[in-house]
Amino acid sequence: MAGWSKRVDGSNLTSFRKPENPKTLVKNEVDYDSAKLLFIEVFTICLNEVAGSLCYRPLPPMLGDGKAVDLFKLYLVVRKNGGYQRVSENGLWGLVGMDCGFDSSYGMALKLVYVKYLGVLEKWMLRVREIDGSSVKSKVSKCDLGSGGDGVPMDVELDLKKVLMKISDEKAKDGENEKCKLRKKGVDTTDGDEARDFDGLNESNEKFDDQSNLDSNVITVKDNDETRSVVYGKEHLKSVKGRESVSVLHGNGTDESLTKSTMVEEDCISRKRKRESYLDMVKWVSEVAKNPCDLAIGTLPERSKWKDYGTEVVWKQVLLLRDEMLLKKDVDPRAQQSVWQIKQKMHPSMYDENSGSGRLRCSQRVLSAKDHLKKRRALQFSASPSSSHNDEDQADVPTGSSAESAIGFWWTQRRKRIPVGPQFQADIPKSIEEIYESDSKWLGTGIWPLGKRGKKRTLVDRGPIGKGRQDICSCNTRGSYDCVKFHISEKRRKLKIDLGSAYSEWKFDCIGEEVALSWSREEEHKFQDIVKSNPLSEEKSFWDEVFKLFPNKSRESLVSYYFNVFLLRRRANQNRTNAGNIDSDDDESEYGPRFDCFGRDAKFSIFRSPSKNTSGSEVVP
Amino acid sequence: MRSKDKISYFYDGDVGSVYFGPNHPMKPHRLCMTHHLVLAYGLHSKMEVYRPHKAYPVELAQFHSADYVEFLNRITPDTQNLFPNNLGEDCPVFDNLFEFCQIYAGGTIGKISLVNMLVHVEVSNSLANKDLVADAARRLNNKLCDIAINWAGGLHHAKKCAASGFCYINDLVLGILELLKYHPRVLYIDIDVHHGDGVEEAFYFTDRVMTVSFHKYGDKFFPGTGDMKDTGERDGRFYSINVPLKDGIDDGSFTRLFKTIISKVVETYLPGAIVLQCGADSLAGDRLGCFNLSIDGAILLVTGGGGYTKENVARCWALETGVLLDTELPNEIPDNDYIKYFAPDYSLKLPGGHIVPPDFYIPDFDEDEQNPDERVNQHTQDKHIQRDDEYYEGDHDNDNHTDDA
Repeated sequence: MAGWSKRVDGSNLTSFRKPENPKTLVKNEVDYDSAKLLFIEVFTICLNEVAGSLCYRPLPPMLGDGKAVDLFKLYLVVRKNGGYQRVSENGLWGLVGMDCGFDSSYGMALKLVYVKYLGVLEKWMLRVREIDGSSVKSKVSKCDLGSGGDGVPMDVELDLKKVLMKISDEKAKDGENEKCKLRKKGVDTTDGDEARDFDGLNESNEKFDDQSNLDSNVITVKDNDETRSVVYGKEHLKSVKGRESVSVLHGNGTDESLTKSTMVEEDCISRKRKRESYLDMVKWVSEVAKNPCDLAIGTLPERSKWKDYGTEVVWKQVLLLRDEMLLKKDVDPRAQQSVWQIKQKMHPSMYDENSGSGRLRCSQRVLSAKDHLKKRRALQFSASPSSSHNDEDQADVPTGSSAESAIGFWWTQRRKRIPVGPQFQADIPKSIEEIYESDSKWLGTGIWPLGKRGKKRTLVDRGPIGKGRQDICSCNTRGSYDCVKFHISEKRRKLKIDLGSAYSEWKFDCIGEEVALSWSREEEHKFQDIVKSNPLSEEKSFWDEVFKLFPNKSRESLVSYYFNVFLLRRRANQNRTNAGNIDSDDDESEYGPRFDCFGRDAKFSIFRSPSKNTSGSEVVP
Repeated sequence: MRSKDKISYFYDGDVGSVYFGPNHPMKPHRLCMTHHLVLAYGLHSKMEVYRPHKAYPVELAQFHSADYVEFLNRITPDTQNLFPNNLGEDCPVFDNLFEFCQIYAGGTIGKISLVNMLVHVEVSNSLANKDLVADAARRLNNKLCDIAINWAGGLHHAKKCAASGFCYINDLVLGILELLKYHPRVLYIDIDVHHGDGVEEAFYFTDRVMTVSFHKYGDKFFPGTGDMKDTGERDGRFYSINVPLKDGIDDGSFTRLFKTIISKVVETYLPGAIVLQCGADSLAGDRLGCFNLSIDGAILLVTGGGGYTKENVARCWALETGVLLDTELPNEIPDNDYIKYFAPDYSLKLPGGHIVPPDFYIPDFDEDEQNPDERVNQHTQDKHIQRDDEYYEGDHDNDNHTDDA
């Protein structure tokens, strides 16, 4: 224990798990508990180090049915059985499950947990070992391989201690550790102007301007961490723990935060006898979290009547604890405000008062989270696992609430919202008009069915509506160029007779390869040459040249030729050469990626479909 | 079911020759192909086809700012440098830009005028008959069922003062505004793969229009709006519904989702008219099949929208026209001038039922490498833990999982 205490003095990093009353504990348990504490501590650091902000793992891990896994125990059991590799090879996971206090069917789940959590630790330990080979090496390797000791293997503890010692030494020496960074930033930010540098969040300036000194700044941050954690505790207790331990580590886990954090982590890690009185409360909170609408929880009275209740009521205890924790620190009113909001939202009864319960709940959370988030972001809390959480829970804010603007900035960073204002919304007609004033000119022109004018009684057999293509025809060579051509023109003739004047109204005389009839062979060659000599990949458009070289043709007719003849013919060729392997819309793609030149610089373009595109024909799936 | 209904269809032959410019995926020529295919199937014998009037600038200004309309009216490829171009990259200035807008907007407004006229006739008939019709709208819902189709319309991204995503004038908003003159409530449904942001934005503050949009969301997919939590504001709060989807949702899931949501919406909102934006860039399975079932009894206005592979757009919309006409179309595409575009199998429905094969999104269990902003929530992850338990029944899984941990 000597080394342990020494480290506590040396680095406040380690202080967060200091046992309150170690002497009263049985020696044996001290070993186990302290080893376990150490283990969790190392593990938490490890998670942060290795995975950083990209990784968020709730602690303790829970299985699908909500049972918590004791990581330390799992670690020991796996070690006892020869390590991950051997357990997997020998199919011992069922056994591991039983040793950990589950039944054997949990084996695979535990394997997963091991991989997700302890695999990281193993890797990380290897890394540490690489950095400092000599002293830690032997122990760590022992640790990895597992020698199969019973009870609490001292070597594990030693390993962990060594590792931890090393960490704290390094950190103490090295002014660049995160804590110091945090401090520095705290100092910087108080200058106001420089805050601009952090994430470029200008709005954070206001926040920090009124924070006069380093201490208050740091404390605020810490507070926020706690507050937020507890908020989540209501929603999602299990996630609190990982977060809590992480945040404490980051937030300079001083003694003030100690009591509280240990309390919350009670359920998760040590279950100290001393703190059993808290268990009920934590249980209650977790029940609320799991099933917020449970009628058994009852309703929360108005805030003004809270005084009337004794401390024996669980929710009151929670409130008292909150107050207690808040009073300890001289927090700024803003934080208090947010805490008040948390209280307000804390109880399920709040949901019932609002039909749009989900919305309120989310909004409240957001309100309470905003301060922390802002500061955290501003302080470059890169390892904040909470960002993901908040992200999922982004919610709407009640319209017109003062919080709207304050939150706005990080909303907009997260997602694009519908802009509001007179220049965006439509003016809605106020009343419903009773009488319709017919204005037939707005209807356009009726083209079909043909009116009396131009209507011919024809005997054309339209065939059944929706008749498809016939597979059988009497052409000599079915599917040949001539055959296809014949059937197309046959269909065209039929349609022409059927449609009468509508045929030309719809410009059916200008579709398909008919268009080519008005083009001379030379012109067609010229067109083709121009297109081929102007590959689009060079950002040149053949159209400029086409327009220039066909001065006597209108743009419409050129476009029409392009789609109706040029592309169609090319497609026909492709059909015959590499049928089945045709890009469905490769009009231009054979001349290079179609979208290279277009919308290239557009930041938010309809072309931009990040996960795919560029190569495909279909930009927009 | 719908075959007795009056179906009107809008088409202007000029629209096919509009060209957005090289490399631009939006090809109005697709409208030409669609129309041609519809006719090749002989569907015209079941509908009335109109050529839309060209919407007047003043009509466009019902929604859009007058300045913006004026700007569109004046700008040409040759003069675009003279104007501060606020159109953005996606929306090039091309020849006949304004005319193009006038045509498709005219189609949508026109069909709505038509519908309104029918409503009027219906109402006055019932009055003349001295029927005690307390609620003409209800009668309308029960009796008159009209469908108008304007595949050229549906340009749902256009904003009040700006163009966006190939859309210059928002014909849908204009059409809905027209409908609001006679209907207390209008339902807008958007099944384009992109979020119908322009329409949602225009009616964000009102409860007289409910917008429901099914769209792909996330990964910075255009236009980036459409979060499930955007539900409208002020009076319009809870009158905007967004159904964000991920890649790979299949027909079955989509249909289920669609039916569930739309039937509930129609049941509770009781819209007098429904405007359906049918962008052809989403799944092409039987999208309207399920729709027909759930919205029986309201005026239905159908517009086009996205969809940038000409022949597939034509396939999709021809199929949907058939559905609206209650006519089942054979899978073999009849001979027509564009038949070659439909190679190699010349079929209406693409194998697998998808116009655009979705790249299936398989939620990766280990999401750590992903952007934390895109992370699945904790509940989902927990479920995965549970599920993995089921997957690896027994100890047959010898993979070394440490590698991907």
